[in-house]
Amino acid sequence: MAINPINQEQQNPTSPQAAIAPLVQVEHLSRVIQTRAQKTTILDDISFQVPARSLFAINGPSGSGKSTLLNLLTGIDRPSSGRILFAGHEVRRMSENRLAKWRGQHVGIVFQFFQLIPTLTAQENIQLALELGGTMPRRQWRKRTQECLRLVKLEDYANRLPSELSGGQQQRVAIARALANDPPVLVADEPTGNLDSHTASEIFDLLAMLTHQAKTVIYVTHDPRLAARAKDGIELMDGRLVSESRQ
Amino acid sequence: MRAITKKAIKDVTRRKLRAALTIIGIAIGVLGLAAISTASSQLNASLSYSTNASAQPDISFTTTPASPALAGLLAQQPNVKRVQAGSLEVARWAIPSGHYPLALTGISDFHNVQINPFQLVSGHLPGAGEVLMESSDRSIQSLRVGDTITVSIRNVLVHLTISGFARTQGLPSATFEGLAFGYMPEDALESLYHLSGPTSFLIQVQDQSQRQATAQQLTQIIEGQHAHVLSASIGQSGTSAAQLINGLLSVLGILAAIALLLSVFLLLSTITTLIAEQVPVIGTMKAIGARRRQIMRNYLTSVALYGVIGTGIGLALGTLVAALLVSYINSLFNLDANPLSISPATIILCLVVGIGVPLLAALFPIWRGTRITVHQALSGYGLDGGARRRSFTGRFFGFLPQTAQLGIRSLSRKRSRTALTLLALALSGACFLAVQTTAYSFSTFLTQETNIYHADIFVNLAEPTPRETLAQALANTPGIAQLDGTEDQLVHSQWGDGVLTGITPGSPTYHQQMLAGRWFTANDTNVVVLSDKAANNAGKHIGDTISFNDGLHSATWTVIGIARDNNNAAIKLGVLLAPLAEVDAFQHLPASYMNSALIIAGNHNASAVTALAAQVDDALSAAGVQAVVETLAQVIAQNQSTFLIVEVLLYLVAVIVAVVGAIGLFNALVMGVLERRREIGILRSMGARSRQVALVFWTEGLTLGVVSWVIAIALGIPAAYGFVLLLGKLLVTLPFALNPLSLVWMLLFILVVATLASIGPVWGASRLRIAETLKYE
Repeated sequence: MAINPINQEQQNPTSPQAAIAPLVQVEHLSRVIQTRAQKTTILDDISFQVPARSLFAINGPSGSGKSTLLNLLTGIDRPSSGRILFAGHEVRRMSENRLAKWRGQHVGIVFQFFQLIPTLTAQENIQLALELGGTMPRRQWRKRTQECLRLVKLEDYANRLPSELSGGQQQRVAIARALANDPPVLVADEPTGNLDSHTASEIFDLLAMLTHQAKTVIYVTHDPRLAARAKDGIELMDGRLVSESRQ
Repeated sequence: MRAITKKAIKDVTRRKLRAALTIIGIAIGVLGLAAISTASSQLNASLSYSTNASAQPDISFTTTPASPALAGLLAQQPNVKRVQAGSLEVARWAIPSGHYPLALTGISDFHNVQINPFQLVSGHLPGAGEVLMESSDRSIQSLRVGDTITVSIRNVLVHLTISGFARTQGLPSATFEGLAFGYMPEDALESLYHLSGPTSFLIQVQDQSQRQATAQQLTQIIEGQHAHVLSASIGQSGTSAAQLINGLLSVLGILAAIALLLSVFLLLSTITTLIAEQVPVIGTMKAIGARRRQIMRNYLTSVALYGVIGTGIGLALGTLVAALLVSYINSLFNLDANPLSISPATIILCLVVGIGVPLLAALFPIWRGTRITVHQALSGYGLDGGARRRSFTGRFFGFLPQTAQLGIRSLSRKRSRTALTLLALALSGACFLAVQTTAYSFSTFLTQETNIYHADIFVNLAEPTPRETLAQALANTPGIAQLDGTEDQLVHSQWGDGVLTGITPGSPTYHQQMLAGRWFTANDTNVVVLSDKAANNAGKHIGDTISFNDGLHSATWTVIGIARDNNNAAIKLGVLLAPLAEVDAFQHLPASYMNSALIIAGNHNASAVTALAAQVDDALSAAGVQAVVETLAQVIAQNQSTFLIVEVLLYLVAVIVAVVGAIGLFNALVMGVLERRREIGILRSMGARSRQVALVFWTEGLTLGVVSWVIAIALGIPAAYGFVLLLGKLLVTLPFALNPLSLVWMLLFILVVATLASIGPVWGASRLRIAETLKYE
């Protein structure tokens, strides 16, 4: 199913330049939390690159700093030092409002616990993302919403509230919402952590499929098997980068 | 419709109870505003129509029977525009429950009544043997045209046929005045009362500024024509009705403003709760690209929805309440009512207040609540981020169970919300205390006055009557231990109108309560004892002089004392006490004339006093003395019924204030439950039973109640004092009296409110599923 490309790099996915250039560059990133009682280093001098159109895994045990790293990448949290370049733009320098706008247009976020607006139906949740992102005119919203629901095979559930959907279905809606503004990057924090194994597999397959549609998918997992499915990724341990894999 | 707009609507409709309570809060505020504004304009229109100043007398004389030619003579005098002669006598109207005083006005020419005119509402003008009754007399007894009433005139029963009903401009209703009214042909009335001529002269003057001089001149002419002026009044009636109505509306307006203020508190509490509930949603919206102003617009849309619905309901109910209020007051004061209409200005004002005020009030909490970052919003676990020091509760309340300590400790978690809740509860308590104190002050006022004017039976005479005449009339009535009189005369001064009260010094019917100076001695002349209110209003001290006049006579007397006397509490200046003989001399009346008598019964038993009052009534009627006889119980009951409307409205507002305070506490506790879901889950996972979880929140509610009680005392006592003072300026002066028991009642009231408000959140907290509360995001 075609998705209207808005990122220049996606227009020619086979060009060598597009294949080589990293979409995300992380340089000497650190995150330290200082309280009266103590100083805690969540992330310590992390540097890595995420290639465009890749399935990229951030792996590590609980407490390794994976979710914090993901929050830094999406601008949800701010680093103590270091920088993040997202398609050449430094994320850290933006204000909260600019970050929110940037996220709406450039990053689709999929949470472990779905985080759908409970009072809105599936299609309204997607439409909300279109309203907030502002990437396309209003007359195109309805069509785009239906496209996203078709992509995740939930076109028949458009008018259901989240409470009327299963966990897997909710996560599909969350993915559809994340895709609404056709962002180049999808970020997923333990997207299958709250699902049974069969559903988790389906959801992961869906995410992986998106790389064939010129998306870059960065996901956090503590499951080595899911981490192994990615061709590129990093492994964290106690806030430090212990390994990096690239293809 | 945009998804974000749908969300705003669903945020309102999802929590139906909260939405209903918030809308009710706004509706109450708008209702008060609409009701007072509409009623005020309607009543002012009714007043101006019904109390047409051009039809009121400027001077009124009550005389002994005069020559019919006197009217013509008076009309020829300088500055006299119009003279209307007639008679005014009081008869005893037999009604099923006994007797009711009926003032009969004799009219010589029914087609030429230009002063105090009346409108024929039904039937026809009276002829011989007929009476035209005032419409409001039907509130005393059900009457129809053609019915026959029986009146007792000088102990002779007379049957009169009702020819019709009239409405007289500016005349209060029969129940309000305690006096029914009727019209008869002048010659018929004179015949019944064996009068040789008119006894009432109503005068209108050309130049108002000269009316006092004109009144004095006319008095001399009347006296010169061998008639005696028994009483004279200068000025127009109806102003007291306007004052009372405006005073009542002002009190209601203040109460409506308090209700509006509290509905704003309620809205603030609701919006804060809503934002707190929606923290994860706010985080999500920001994560998917929403900017702060977009999120703020979303919540302001919800507030606007509350406002629109609440305003609509408030306007509709306010119009209804206005209609009821106007109808009631019109019936009390016998005013003509225009069709009810609500002005565009009132509608606009209600819209601005009902929608604008909630939006303004919600702006800060929404702005504050939406500033949360995505990270903070999505990672909130419901526990504090780590206690920085041991809570004071641990230090001072360590003897309490931990579950109770948890409840108390929560007060310091969200200080601004706690402060808001405490303020709302304290205001509720303070309002309750103010209402209790006002009611107690009124009953204290009645008790004080009945202690000062000490009598079992009060006799209000239609005209000044010598004490000897009364004594003779009652000579054969057993059971009278003491009979003394007072003479009340309305006087004017530079500080407003007062009541000059002549009393018999040393009489057991008047127990003076001196506050300064001395009481009267036998040889005192031209001296006065001021009530404390009069002394304060006039700024007078012992030894000062005070000048006053009644339109015909003026005097300057020396103040020798200040005493407590709140009789005629609605009068602006207050009471001026003097020996009865001095007051009679001031009015150029023979000594010992009185216009009311106080009787102390030998047997104070209620039924004995009632029987004695009936005997006194019969005896006076037989002797041709026209009077209204009431027992002390009846006087108290009438005063209480007059004050009843104020008391009912005050308690109604207290109830509304209590509801708003309870809702505010309810919201605060709900938020506490929301924020402490994880804490609740941990407690239950450790084995806490539902009632132990419930205890945490009930303790929080009760603690808030007790703390707010302390604040309410600090706020409530000065507020109660201020309210009683305000009531004095607007309606009726009352002595401030605080019943210490009211503080206990206030505590119980607040604790009941706190407990009721805690029920919902406590029930909700005790039913939370552990898995739901301990789920990590």
